[in-house]
Amino acid sequence: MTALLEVSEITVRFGGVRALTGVNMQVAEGSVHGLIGPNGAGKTTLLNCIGRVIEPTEGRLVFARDDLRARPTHDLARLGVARTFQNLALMDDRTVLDNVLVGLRRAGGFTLHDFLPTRRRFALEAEDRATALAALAQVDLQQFAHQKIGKLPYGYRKSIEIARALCTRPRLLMLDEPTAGLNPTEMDQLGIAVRRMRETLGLTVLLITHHIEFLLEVADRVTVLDLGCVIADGAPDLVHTDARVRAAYLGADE
Amino acid sequence: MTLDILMAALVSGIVNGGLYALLGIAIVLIFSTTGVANFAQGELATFGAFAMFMIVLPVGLSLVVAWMSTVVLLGILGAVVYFIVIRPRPEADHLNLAVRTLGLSGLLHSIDVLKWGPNEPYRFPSLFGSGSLSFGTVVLSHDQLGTLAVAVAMAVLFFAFFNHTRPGLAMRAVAMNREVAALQGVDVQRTNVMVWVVATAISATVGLLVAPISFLDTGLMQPYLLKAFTAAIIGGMYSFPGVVAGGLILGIAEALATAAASIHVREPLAFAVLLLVLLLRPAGLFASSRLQRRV
Amino acid sequence: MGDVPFGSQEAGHTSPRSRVLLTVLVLVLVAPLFATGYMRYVATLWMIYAIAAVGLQIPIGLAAIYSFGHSAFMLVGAYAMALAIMLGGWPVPIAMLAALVLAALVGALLALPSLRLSGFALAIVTMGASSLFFQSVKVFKLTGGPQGLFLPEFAFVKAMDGRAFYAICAGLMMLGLMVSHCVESGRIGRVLRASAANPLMAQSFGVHLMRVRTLAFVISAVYGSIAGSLLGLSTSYIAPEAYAPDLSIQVFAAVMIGGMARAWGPVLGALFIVLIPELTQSVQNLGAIVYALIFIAVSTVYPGGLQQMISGLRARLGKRVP
Repeated sequence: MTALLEVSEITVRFGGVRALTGVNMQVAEGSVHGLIGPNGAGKTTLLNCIGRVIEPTEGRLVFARDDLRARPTHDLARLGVARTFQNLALMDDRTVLDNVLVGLRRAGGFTLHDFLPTRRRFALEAEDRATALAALAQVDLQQFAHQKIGKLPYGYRKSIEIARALCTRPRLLMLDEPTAGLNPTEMDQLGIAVRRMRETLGLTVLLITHHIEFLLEVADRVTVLDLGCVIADGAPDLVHTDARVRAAYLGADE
Repeated sequence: MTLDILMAALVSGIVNGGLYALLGIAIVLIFSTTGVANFAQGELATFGAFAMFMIVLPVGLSLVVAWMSTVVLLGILGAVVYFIVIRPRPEADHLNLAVRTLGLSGLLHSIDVLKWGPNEPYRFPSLFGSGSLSFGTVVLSHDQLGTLAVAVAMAVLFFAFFNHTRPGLAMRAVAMNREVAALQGVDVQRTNVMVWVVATAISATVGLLVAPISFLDTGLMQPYLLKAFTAAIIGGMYSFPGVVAGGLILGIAEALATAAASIHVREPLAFAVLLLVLLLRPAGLFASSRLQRRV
Repeated sequence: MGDVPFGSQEAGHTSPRSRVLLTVLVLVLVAPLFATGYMRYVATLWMIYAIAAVGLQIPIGLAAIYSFGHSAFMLVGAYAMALAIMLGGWPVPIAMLAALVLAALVGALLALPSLRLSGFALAIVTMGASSLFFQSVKVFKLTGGPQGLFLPEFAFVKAMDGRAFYAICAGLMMLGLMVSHCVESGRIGRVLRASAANPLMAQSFGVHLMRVRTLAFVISAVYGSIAGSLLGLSTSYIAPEAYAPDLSIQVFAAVMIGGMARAWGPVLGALFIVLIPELTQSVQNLGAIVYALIFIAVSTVYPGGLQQMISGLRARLGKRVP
């Protein structure tokens, strides 16, 4: 199985604090890869490195044989990497559709059609709307397209972020705590949606989660972080069997 | 450039720089405690000069008493401004508060123009008399000396107040952390009022110092506002020694450039200094890495 | 309450409400053709300020960039056009185009530091730029020094007692409004809003921050330049005082008072700016005071401007209808 994403010896130091030390991880193409660990383990930091929001102090990041560290943040969408945010980066005063449309990119820069009401413009806008609605359908939220974000429950908002990420037609979808704040039913639905996305869209998914049951349902492989280091990496059920993983979670609440 | 010209430029630069610094102190005081970028600081100063000219002087007080009364009067105006313009809707963001001060600036200017005509020059009495002193080849007018002396005195007075009195301590606490200060029992509201009173009084002083030098007209302090902000920015917006240094640096740089090239270089230079500082050292020239607060 | 923007999102289909608004707008715009010459002059001024304000709404309303450098764009629009006409003998439209290109360049330059500067710092820099341009034109003989430049009187400005010129300004304003609406409701608006709301998120979705901020500045510069050119033509005299940094604040006030959310807000705000000095003509400069008071009142209490007041009214009236 080819590794779509290769993380090699990634170290991140903030001043005196080591957020990540020598992290290695391989995400196979077409797989759902879990990234778990207690609070403060560095999971979001690793995601932020891959998402080119933080610069690692050392290490390599290779996506589809492309050196990610040579890329600026705004190249990622074009390369095929999309993500959601742990603390939700949505525009509360805009509609769901407006937010999801942010994910849409068009090849080439801005054209005349962005400034004048031409027929092509309407055609393009209709196309965009259709894509956005299809993305919302993947998470079963298309009926809320014209509602303002501020009025929707937390769980829906997390899924809207996923729809937005899908609009970039990514190869790798990175989900930061998509299960936080969801009730069991919603979590089941998300699990089904993730698996469906993997099947129908050929996605590779890297997801951070605290919910072990969800992980076992959905993931093909898991990497476990603790205090910035990888302590285990392999099949999902090692969360039960691996002694180090159990020790890391002792006392943690989840 | 001969030594004479150099010295004269330096003197002029230090005097101007002192004025930028003093106005900048008022700006930093308000910015660091109440978080407001007060774009009306210059117009408040102009208003102070006009107030003394039209209201206080005709009453027949001695010049010194008239000065002090004006400063006090403007201090009260500062409190009024705080209650009417700043205090309502305190949840607004800082940019909105700055916009309100823009409106205030316009209001003060239009009141000035209404009463005293646009750009009509008035002669303003000098506290220091004409005449000059010579130190070797360097000639300092009484105005320059007096202005510098008053500016320094005002700054020293302010620092003494700020660093060694209880109200000053309250101001420092609020500037450092408003929530914690409130928890420690500081009356943040009262401190804010005091801040505006003191800052406006200082601005009035600057206006009274500038008016005798040029003519008093409605555009008196317009050139000073951005320069005072530049001084404050050089100091990092939160530092008093910083803004003083910033003012002096700007004033001297301006004077030297004017002497070396021409008067036309003045404005572009001030803008260039502003841009350079913001781009290269946005936290101010003197910020330690510990207190890295972006402007 | 679902807010349907000016012009619906459905392709080529406008909602009944916007059709009404459009009709009203057209009527209002046609009216000055039948009024007195003086009223036409005021209406022309309104159109010019409206163009400037609609342009300023793009960086401020969409990208949350507080640009106080708008007077610099208007100044370039006026002076560059005048110089092209007087020195190069260029026809007016070409001269205006040249000025527009120059202003766009200035806009792009102002955008350069925008990534490294906070909102406040950028605001100060734009203020500084306004001041710099203003001081500079007063200094050089080429730009007429403190006296300014005298343009030749053009036939089309005075033709039909000002009707032709008014029609041109109104036509340009409508064009500007249409373009602004397209920008606001389309991809550019989305990208600008995202970059303002959360720059990191926007970048993660392919937004090149520098490019979009430059675009915002350049668009506003184009509008400002056209407005400045028209302003110069309207009086045939380009006085530096007319393009002082104060002008930036005035146009900003128009955007703020009119309300930033909808395309027509700045047009309403511009009307306000132009009308107040007219209505308070009896007492000299009282207009400026009234205007400043309203500015303070709006920014302090009604930050959403007239739009906020109007939708507040509608909400209260609408509550009776289930």
